[in-house]
Amino acid sequence: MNCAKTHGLISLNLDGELSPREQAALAAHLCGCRACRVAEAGLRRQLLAGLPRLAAPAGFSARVMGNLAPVPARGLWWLRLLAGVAEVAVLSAIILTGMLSGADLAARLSPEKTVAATLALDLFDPAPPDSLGGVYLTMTEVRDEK
Amino acid sequence: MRRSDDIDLINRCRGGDRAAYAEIVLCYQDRIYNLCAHLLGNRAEAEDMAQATFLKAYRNLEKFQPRSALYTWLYRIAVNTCLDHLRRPFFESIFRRSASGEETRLDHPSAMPSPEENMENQQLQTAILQALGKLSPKLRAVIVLKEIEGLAYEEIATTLEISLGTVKSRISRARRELQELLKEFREQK
Repeated sequence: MNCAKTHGLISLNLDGELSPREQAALAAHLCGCRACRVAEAGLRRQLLAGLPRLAAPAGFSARVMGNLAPVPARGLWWLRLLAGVAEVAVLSAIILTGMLSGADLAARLSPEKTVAATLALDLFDPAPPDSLGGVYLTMTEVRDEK
Repeated sequence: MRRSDDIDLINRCRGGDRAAYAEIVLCYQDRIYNLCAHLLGNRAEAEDMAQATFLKAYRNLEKFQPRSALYTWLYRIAVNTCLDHLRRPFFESIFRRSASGEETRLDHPSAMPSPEENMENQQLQTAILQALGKLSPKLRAVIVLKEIEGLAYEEIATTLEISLGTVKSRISRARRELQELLKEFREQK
């Protein structure tokens, strides 16, 4: 038996997990190996014995109970599914209304452009020269020319 | 609490009886809090994670299998919750309290020791907690379940959903590493 294997057996022996045969083999090794005897003595000290057991703080259970959401009742899966579908439908309706309103507004501001062109935001070009965007575009154009 | 009592309480909870769940929380809150505190080394985070454990358990009552003990199921949720918490990204972890600071110390003297004894106990507890904090989360989980919670090897295997052989090797490694980490402290004494 080598020392590396012995360390595993020492740990198991502390927890009463070794068979009599394994215990005998471990004892024989310990007799002839001082390093393993020292290791065993160290592990026997119960490494975590100095730590206290801690109790939950006062009011813990009340706080847990206060944060509990109701358990979804059994057999109401179809209701949850219906609520999900309704949620998606409402969100889709809002997005579609926004798109149609935007297209309508763009058509009024620039009737010659198609709906697809207005969605590309070309409607807002060119940027006014005095605006921050205009200054930036001028700078990039000058740089590109160089 | 007997297993039949646990199953009875679970069945009542599934029927919507919140008082039954309050009984479960009261019965297991100290064990779960103690486990979280020693896995995280911090009281404030331990309370948050213990609460999260009971909230998750409540939401997942339907998944509880009566063939396993309620406390091992709760331990599993608690360990996973704490390990997820420890794996949080760095930008979140910098807001955690120091691993060796005042908030972390889990001293809890129950008797009235002399000031010298108290000082020595606190130093030992701090050294043990710091050593525990240096173990990898996986090794910390097995050693806390074994040494502090007193679970048997089979129970640890069930709780962590790992093989018995892995439990044995991790406990052995955790003990060796702890022994090394505490050697310096004990030699100073």
